[in-house]
Amino acid sequence: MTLQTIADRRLHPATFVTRTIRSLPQYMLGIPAAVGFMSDSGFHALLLFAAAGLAAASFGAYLFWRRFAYGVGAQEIVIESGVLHRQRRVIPFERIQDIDIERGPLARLFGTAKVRIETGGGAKDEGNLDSVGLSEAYRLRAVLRRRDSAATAAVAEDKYAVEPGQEPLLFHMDLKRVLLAGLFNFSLVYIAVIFGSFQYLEALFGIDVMAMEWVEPARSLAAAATWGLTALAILFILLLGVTAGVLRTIARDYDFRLTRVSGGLRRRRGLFTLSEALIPFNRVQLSIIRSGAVARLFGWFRLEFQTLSADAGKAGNQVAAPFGREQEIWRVLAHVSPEDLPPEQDYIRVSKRHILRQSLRWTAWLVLPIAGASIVWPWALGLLLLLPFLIGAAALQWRHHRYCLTPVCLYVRQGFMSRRLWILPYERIQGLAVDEGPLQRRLELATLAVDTAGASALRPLQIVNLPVAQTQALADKLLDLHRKARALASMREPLRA
Amino acid sequence: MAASIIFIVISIAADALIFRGQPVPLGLFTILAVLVALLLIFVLPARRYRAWGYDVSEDELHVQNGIWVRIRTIVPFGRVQHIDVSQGPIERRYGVGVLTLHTAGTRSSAVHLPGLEMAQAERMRDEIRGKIRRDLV
Repeated sequence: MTLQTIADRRLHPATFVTRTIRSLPQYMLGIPAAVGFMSDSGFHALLLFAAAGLAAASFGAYLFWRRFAYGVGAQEIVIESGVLHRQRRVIPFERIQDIDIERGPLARLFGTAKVRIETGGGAKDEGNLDSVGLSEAYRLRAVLRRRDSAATAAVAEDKYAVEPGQEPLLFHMDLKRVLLAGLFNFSLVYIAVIFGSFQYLEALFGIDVMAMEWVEPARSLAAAATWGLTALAILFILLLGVTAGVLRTIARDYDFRLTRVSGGLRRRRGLFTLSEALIPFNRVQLSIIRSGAVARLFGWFRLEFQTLSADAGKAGNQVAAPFGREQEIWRVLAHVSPEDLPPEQDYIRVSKRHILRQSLRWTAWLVLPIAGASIVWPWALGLLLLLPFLIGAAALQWRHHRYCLTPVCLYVRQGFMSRRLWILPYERIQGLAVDEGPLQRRLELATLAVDTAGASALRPLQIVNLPVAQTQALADKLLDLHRKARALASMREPLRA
Repeated sequence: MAASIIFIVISIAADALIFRGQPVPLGLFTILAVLVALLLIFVLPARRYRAWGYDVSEDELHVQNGIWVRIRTIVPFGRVQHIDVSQGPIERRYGVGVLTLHTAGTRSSAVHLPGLEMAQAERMRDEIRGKIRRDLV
């Protein structure tokens, strides 16, 4: 079957132009800059190299376009690519999770789009069509959705009938909201970028930033800096960080729209790159409501869905509402989860020994470095005065770590500074693990880890430091509830081959 | 075992070349290395073997292992995507195999149960296969 599917379609001709433009920085800036830096060839030679760079970039883009072909067969989509190393990738329809359509600024200019075919397997199984015409992108999505058994199943299960073109708006971020969200996304990344670019100026144009006229007086000024000036400098850096955060957030989340479609949610966002993604309900493994320490004080929360295709490029979870009020989050969640959040008093706490264990662990981690540092700086021993704060932090952690079992889901709260609420329907449990570390064994505690598809390895769903007996009982209870939920689910839908 | 042999060889070499003529007694590192090797080869594997345990219940497989951190992994059969029985060269000589259950999870994407007799491993594999229900995740 796969041998018969011919890859008979080419990418949009504009691909040639966009690829050339995108690879310009490395051809025209990087290499000439390196050459100019190494030999004092002068400006004309630099121009020559730049022109050669442009020619190389265009040729590379042309080759890529020429050697790329795709085709839609009866049961799969085929992508053939590669200039030197030829690759034929076959993606069966039933493996396809979804089709994402992304439109960067260049794509918007030329009327093209980048189509991303997501499978559950991660980067090596994905397909990228960069770029096809916009109408072709929509056509592909319609064709692949119609043939994809998972998507049609999602639509069939969904009792909420949505007319195409009349998708109700569930969550929206206007410009004011996006700016506000940006304020909470502090970012110091760009300071490094700015200082790094000083090097390029020097290499390209012979401008030595450090030898400029204003540097020396500034330096002597900095040497004579008073507290006021230092404070000003810190303020300036903070301002830079805030601005960088705001700009990044605007670029990513501009006009964020979450709408309801048959079988899932559709999310559109972005200023320069317009990206569109579908979150099918039957791929959602669990929901997470998060809030940062400061954002929560002002009443802002973030809703994410952990879905099956834990795409490395997207850092795991799909964001449904990055910055919203609690009521708005609940309104979106109502479409995914059939029940309301349980009241606070229904939650069960973990063992108080959690405080003891965490304090001991943190102390153990800190004692060695402090002891080592105190050899050189004796006053480092004063850092040991921090111990009561560690105990306080552990106590706060204990206070905010609790769980609750409802007839449908497991709810777990975690964290006191940046908080998380996990909502996991029992049928989505993939496995359980009961961990007992050496200290836990002595304190008769255990940690229950609940494994799900697409979970992050760094931040898994865990209930930490329950008494051992309670952990075993909880594990058994969860398995029981999981079995019942699966039995119920398989009665609702006939088994698929 | 291979690692400890390499370690011993390196220690002997270090002993002979570097520490000759130093106030450290000759052969100290070699003795240390031999002691560590004895520990790794004879004492630890037995401890680790005893730490492995499994239980096949009606609907799940429980696997317990670990000395320092004791981990009990529970895999419901309905969640198993596929099962492997594999043997490395040393395992083949002794007729044991490793049963591996694969799920769609992250931490339990591959759950290993080593040291089973081949016949038993294959029996367990067939038994669990019968209990897998194939449907969407």
